[in-house]
Order: sequence, then C-alpha cells, then structure tokens
Amino acid sequence: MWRWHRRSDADFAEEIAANIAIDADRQVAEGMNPEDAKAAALRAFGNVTRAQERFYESRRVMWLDDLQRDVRYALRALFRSRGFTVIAVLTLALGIGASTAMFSVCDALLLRALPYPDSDRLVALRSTHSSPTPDTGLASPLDLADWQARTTSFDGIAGYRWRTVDLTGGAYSERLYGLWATPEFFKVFGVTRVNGRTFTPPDRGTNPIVLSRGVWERRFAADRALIGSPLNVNIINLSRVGPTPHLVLGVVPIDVHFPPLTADFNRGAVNSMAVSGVESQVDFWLPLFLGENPNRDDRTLDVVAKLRPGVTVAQAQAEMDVVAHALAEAFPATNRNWSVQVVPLRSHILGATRRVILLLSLASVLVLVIACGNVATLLLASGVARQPEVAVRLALGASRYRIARHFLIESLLIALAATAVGVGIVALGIRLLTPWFPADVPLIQRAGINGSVLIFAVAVAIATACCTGIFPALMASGRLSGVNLNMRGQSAGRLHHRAINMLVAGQIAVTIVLLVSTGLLFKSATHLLRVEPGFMSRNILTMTISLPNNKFDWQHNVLFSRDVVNAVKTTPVVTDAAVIQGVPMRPGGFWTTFTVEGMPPADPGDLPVARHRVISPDYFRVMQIPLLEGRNFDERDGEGERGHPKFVIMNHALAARYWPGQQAVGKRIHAGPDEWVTVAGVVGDVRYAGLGTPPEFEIYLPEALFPQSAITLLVKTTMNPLRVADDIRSRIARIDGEAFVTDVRTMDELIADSLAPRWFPTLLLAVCGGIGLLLALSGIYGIVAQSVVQRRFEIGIRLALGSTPKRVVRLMVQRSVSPVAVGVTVGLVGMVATARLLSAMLFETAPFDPATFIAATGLFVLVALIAAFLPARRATKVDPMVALRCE
Amino acid sequence: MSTRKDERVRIALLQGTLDLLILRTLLFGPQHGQGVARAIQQQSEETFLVDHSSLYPALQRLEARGWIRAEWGTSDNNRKARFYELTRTGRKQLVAATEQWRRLSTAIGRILGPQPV
Repeated sequence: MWRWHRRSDADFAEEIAANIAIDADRQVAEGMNPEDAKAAALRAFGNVTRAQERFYESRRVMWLDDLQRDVRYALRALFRSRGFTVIAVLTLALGIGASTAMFSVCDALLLRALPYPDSDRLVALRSTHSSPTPDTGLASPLDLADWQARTTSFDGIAGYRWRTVDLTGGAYSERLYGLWATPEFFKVFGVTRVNGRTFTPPDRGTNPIVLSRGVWERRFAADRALIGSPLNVNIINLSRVGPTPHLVLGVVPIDVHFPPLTADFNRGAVNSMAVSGVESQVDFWLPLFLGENPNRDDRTLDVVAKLRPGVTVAQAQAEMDVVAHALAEAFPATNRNWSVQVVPLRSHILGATRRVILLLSLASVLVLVIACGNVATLLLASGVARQPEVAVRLALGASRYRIARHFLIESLLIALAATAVGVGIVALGIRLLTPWFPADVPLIQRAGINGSVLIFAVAVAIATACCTGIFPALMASGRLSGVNLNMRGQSAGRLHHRAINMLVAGQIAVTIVLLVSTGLLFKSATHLLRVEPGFMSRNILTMTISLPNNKFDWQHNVLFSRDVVNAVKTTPVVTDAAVIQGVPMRPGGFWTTFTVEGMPPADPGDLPVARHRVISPDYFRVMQIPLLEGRNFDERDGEGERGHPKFVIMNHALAARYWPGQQAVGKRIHAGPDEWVTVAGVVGDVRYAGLGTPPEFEIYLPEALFPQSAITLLVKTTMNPLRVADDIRSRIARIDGEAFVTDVRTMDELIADSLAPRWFPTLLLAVCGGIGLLLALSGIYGIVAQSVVQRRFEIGIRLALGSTPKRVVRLMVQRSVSPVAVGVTVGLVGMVATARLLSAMLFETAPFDPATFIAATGLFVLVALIAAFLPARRATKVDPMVALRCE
Repeated sequence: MSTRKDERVRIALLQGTLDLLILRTLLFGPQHGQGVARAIQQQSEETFLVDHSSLYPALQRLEARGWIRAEWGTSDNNRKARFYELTRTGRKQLVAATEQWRRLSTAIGRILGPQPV
C-alpha cells in the first residue's frame, strides 16, 4: 500500500539541518567546542547534497523530470536566438503547410468514404464500344435487365437518369432536380430509411413518386399527410399538356447526394448546379421499370451496382465479360463489339483528377523535403556556433546522449511550432480559396482541417524533427567529430562540409524537378490557350431559360423562344441573340447514331455517333461560326411535322469524314426518326467539349421543329455582357413570369471554366516550384556566406599578397559549384522519372521537351550564380589587416 | 550500514532488515532521525553504523507505506526536529517481520551447526 506523499524538498532539507544540529549539540555536550562540533556533525552525516538528491529522485519519474527540464532549456535557447528560430519555423511551416494542405485534399477525395453506406462495394458498370466513339459508358434498359438476371456477383444493380420536374401552383413554382431510377436504387445506395415506401414491381403502370427531405420540409412543412396522397407534378410529357397527378409513395428523411452522372446532358446540368451553388441533393425519384423501352441500342442509363460481400472487382469484371460476350452473341445487331467495364465508384467519380492529385501530393512532399534540408543546414550551422556551450556542458559532466537529446528536443519544438503555423495558414487558405476551387473537381468541398489531417500534421512534424535534428544533434554532441576547435576559433570540419553540401545538392535536385515540371505544365497550358475554339467568344452572354415542364404545348414553346429572342434583340447594347440547346464549353449534350447514304450497312450497335444541337437561325451569326458550304436555316425549315426535319446542317469534321473532297450539300443522312434528311449546309468546327478535345461530329437541327422547354440563350453585346443581365431577366419575366432563368455566364467565363482544371494544378505546382526555388537559393547563399566568414584569414592573406578582388570572388563562388552541379544532375535524372507521370497531363507538349528542360535548368543556374555571387562580393570588403590581426 | 570493526568489509544487509530495526527502535516511542540512528548504533553495541544515505530513504519508504508517521516537534535541546512514530499497521508489520526474522535466523543456525566451526 503506497501513500503518495507530497513532501517538499524544503521540508527534507529542514529535517537534515535539524538532525545535523542535534548531532552537533550532542558533540558539544560531550565537550567539543561549537564550530568543531558542527563540522564533525556534518562530516558524520555524509554528503548532504547527495542525500537531498536521492530524496528528490526517489519521489519522481526521473526521465519525465529530465524531459521537462530539457524542454524548458530548449525553449530558452530558441528564444535567445530569435532570428534563427523564426526563420527555421517559417521555413518548416511552408513545407508542413504545403503537405498538410495536399493531405487534406487527398483525405477528402481519396481516403474518406463516399457519402453512401458501404461505398467501397459500389462499382460503376460502363458499356464501352471497341471503337473510340465518344465514351459515355451508358447502358440500355434491356441490357441492364439482362445483367440483373444473369449475374451473381452483385447485391443489386441500379440504373438511373437525371430528370427535372416542376411543382406549379402554391405560393411559387419550383423546379426539382431528381432521378428516374430503377427500384434497386435505394438498396444499392443504402437508402434504407423511408417514411412510407419506395417503388416495387406492382407499381408499374401507375404514377408514383418518392420525395426527399429537402422538398418535404421546404415546400410541405414536413406534413405527414402528404405520404399516400396525390401530388400534381409537371413532368415532360409529349402527348399532353399540364400537370400529372402522382402518388407520393414515401419520403426519404435524409439527404442523398446525386450519384455520378456521366458525360452527357446530365453531367452538364449537375456541373451548372454546382457552379450556381445549388445543393447537389436528389429531390425526388421517379420509377424506371425495365422492359418498357424495347430498343436495346438506346443507351441512356448510368448504372451503379453493389458488390456482394467478398466479391472482388476482378471477379465481377470476369463475370461481366462473360455476360457481355453472351449478349453480343445473342444480339449481334446491337451488342456486337460492346463490352462492360467494372469500375470502382471512386475512380469513376474522380477520373483524371486522381492523377493530378498524386502529382500535387508529390510536389508538396518535395517542398517539405526542401524545407527540411534548409532547416537542417541552419541547425548544423548553429550547432557549430554553439560548440563552446556544448564543451562546457560536457566538462560539467553531461552525457553526450543528453546533449544530443537536447538538440533533438529543440528540433521537435521548432517542428511543432511550424506545424501550428502551417496548419493555421492552411485553415486560413482553405477559407479564402474555397470560392476559387474549380467546381469541376468532385468532392473538393469536403476538404478541410479535421481530426485525421491534424494527426497527419503532427506525425509530419515529428518525422521532420527527427530528419532535420538527428544529424546536427549527433554532430553537436561530438559523436561525429565534425568540428575542430582550433586556434582560429570554430571551423567546421570536413564531415560538416560534406553534410551541408549534400543537403544543398538535394534541395537543388528537388527544385530542378519542380521547376521543369512547372515549365512543362505551363507550356502545355499556353498551347491550350492558343487553340482556336472555332467561334468568337467576346462579349457573349449565356443563360439557361426554362419554362415549367409541360405547362404549355410545343407550339407555345416555339413562340416563347422566338419572343424571348426578339425581346432581347431590342435591348440597347445588344447586337444579336440566338438560342441553342445545351451550353457550349460544358461537358454533355445529346447523341445520336446516324447512317450516311451510300455507306456500307452496319449493325445498329456499330453505327457512328454524332452530337445533335437544336439552334435558332441566328446562332452561327452570333457565334461567328463560318458557313463553309450551302445555306443557313430559314423559314423553310419551320414547315413540317414536329421532330421531322427535312434539312440539317453539319460541321466540317463530319462532312470531311464521309464525303472527303466533295460537296456535302445535297447528300442525305439518316439520323433518328425514320426518314432521310438532306444536308443543307456545312459550318466550321467548334470545340464544344473544351479546347483540349478535337472537334466531334455535330448535326444542327432547326429550332422550329424541335421546340425545347429549356433553352440556352446567347446574347451578343457591345460591352460587358454581365451588365445587361438584369435587363434581360426583366424582359423575360415580362413574357412569362414563371420562367426559370439560371446559370448566367459569359462565354469567356465558360471557356475559362473549361480551362480551370488545367490551370489550377499548374498554378499550384508553380507555387511549389517557387517555394522550392527560394529555399534552395537561400541554401546556396548560406553556404557561400559561411565559407566567406570561415576563410576570412585566408582571404586577407590573398588580398595582402596582391590577388585581385575578382579572383577572390571567383574563389568564393567556386564553393557553390560542386553542390549545384551535383544537384542539377540528380535533379535532371529525377525528372526523367517524373516526366512519365506528367505525360498524361500534357497537351501538345512532349514530356522530354528539350526547350523546357534547358530553359528551366538555365534559369536556375543563373539565379544560383547570383545567389552565390552576392555573399562572395562581401569577401572583397575584407580589410587584409583586420583579417590578419584577428588571427 | 557498515560495521566499525571491518572497515573494508561492508556487510550488505537487506533493506528489509534496516526497516525492521527502525520499526523496533520506534517501538519505545517517537524519535527523530538522529535519535533512531544513535539508538541502533548503541543497542547493537556499535556493530551497526547507520549512515544517512540509507537511513533517510528507509524512513521515507516506511512513511510512504504507512508504517510510521511523521510530525515536526521539539527535541530535548529545544531544537526543532521531525519525529517519527509507529502506526498501528506499523506495529503489526513489526510483529510479523520479527517473527519472520527469527525463523530465518533459526534455520540458518541449524544449517551452520553449533559453534565453533
């Protein structure tokens, strides 16, 4: 039984003193004189200090006590040399901050689970064709039904499509964004809580709908009576006008994020929602029952499946290969040459972004390495300067281990302080930069400082402290004899020199890699900028206008579109206006297969694919797309049955592919509905999918026969387009007050948006390269400056003996030559490895582009020379007499 | 502890032995550290010399275990001193330890046989 007795040292000292006094009294009583008695008593007692020490030690955990003392001492030492500490902390903060920021992004995108239960078991099933047609990955309903029937690897396979419905009536109309989904959707995405129920096969033929929490609370005040009662919903219905009553089967009381929607019209819409800040939650579900669409080649659905527990992606892929092959044999017309890819959902969502993230993570780690190198150099130098202090401590009996530990604790404190600063900067940076993040990057909004990020930061701090501190600690404690104490004061020994050389060379190598990579990405981005989009984008304002679904018949939609264009054209400063279906420079659009008259017959599954766009006649004029052959749309194209044009316009790529060297006008193609249409004109290519993608086949259709309830309005103005936006909005409201106007952007902004995924990583990499350059240059500066200080005596003698200042300077600069040469060489070798990683991200730039390599290396060497030259110049200021005397 | 006679030979005695002697000494009433040391010295007829490097740790040990308790008081010479006193548990421990020691020494005595050897 131990009682923890908190007895103070003073108390024990008092007891000792009292006992010595009593003993002295006794001696005096026996006849000794008082002073002798006191001395005798002390002698008899023994070593008072030792007794006190033993008492002290007996009631403490000594290593903890030592640690406390070391920390206090280290803090004092760091505070004494404030300049050094501040520089070290800031330098390391840059490195730790950069890597923490990148880890936070990695955590949000790569590490944290997707917002669905069991998300690691979710895979996307993508239908792909063997030829490089546009790869949408969509599947047809009949294919999906067969997959469900024939496979055993999955707990459920769900297909879905993006839809909008409108709720009219009530206080205000509202547009809802949701999904048309098969009943398995809820099981696959783990939506188990439902007030009411979801779809089941018996619901086929009725009009059910399932709502989500957001709509339920927002519009219906969470009224339970809604469940089971009918709701009037405006849904696109080509046969009649007006709302359709739907039975509300249930309400999902949680938020469900939109599942990934591939590159078709759906994704463009979701992107635009993200840009305009609309929440990407599903508002409603409508049932999609397979078997209603008899066309096996009508590929319109995204498919996500949940793997059975224990089934791997490879096993599922193997099974799907067999099934796809079986379907290809059974239905050669539609499925020959089609296969299925099983892709983990995260890869499917991230796509090419994953590579960018890895590259940036590598860059941030490199910056950390450079920062560590810098701080290690600083610590080494300061270790040399503190040799007298260390020598005294050694003489007083400190163990070398203790001294080394002290230096390590100093590094640890610096690292922890740097972590605090670094994390603070990152938190601030995230708050400031969030609006600038490219909205395209999926899941990026989740990036922030959370528990795992903090743990990572602290782990990095400890690792950094070990890496930077261990070498200087060992050297300072004398275990590695790096220092000679000689008559001229402290001079660093050879090992010390070599250590610093290596560090600086390492920093330079890493900086070279960063600089060349930045150069390559930069060159690639500028190439991209120079690509002609195929139209004039200046001063064009775009916005998406839609009427509530199915509120009017199609004739009305045609008139509405025309009225809007006319109203807008009368606005001052507007020179022209036109309408198009689907926003340019955004991913997505409508696709159709087509046949060319005279082409060899092909199976429906192998037909070529083109994008089709519905436009108003002024479209080419507004965008200044050249008309190469034939004519533009005019009133003739308005006559006829809706959906059945007689003439179409195609783009140059399509015409050149199928009628090379001939006139395409007058030729006939077969696209969509059953009859042949004639080519009326050919226009120039436009890079709708983004500047980096070559132009695809485009077929333009006249608006008069394809009325849309959602149109994209293009307005050409004489001045800054955004200033006209409000005026146009009011004009549209005057035509129809219920029209939704969303997504107001200028064409230049749209192009910039499409380029952002390239510019953003280039910018970040440039920042990393800049930081690395700065740190490496300071390293070079440091070693030359140190060399000048150490060799003052030698310089003095040289100058006294008649050497010119120039030669002295050259001598000093030579000190930096070896680490620079080694560093550049190693860096270029490292670049060879990295170039491969970069090659996928480059546009029209070879990964081993000699111009970039030479330019970046040359720039670095030049700046390095300057960094070496500046301190070397100081050598010439050395007064020879002073130098000789300080011996 | 050391014996005076064989200065160069130090008999290393177990810690528990010193604890036992201290408890025994305190049986007769509270005493301060000096007094305990002198008492052991005298009662063992100068066989044992308790030096303070072992005494005070022993006293702290006993105090932490709750077998003795300490208080500041005045000595006969009107000096302030820290007096140690046996507690109830200390008394019980003394009885138990004494019993153990007697058994031990009897056993050793049997092995070594009667004097002289």
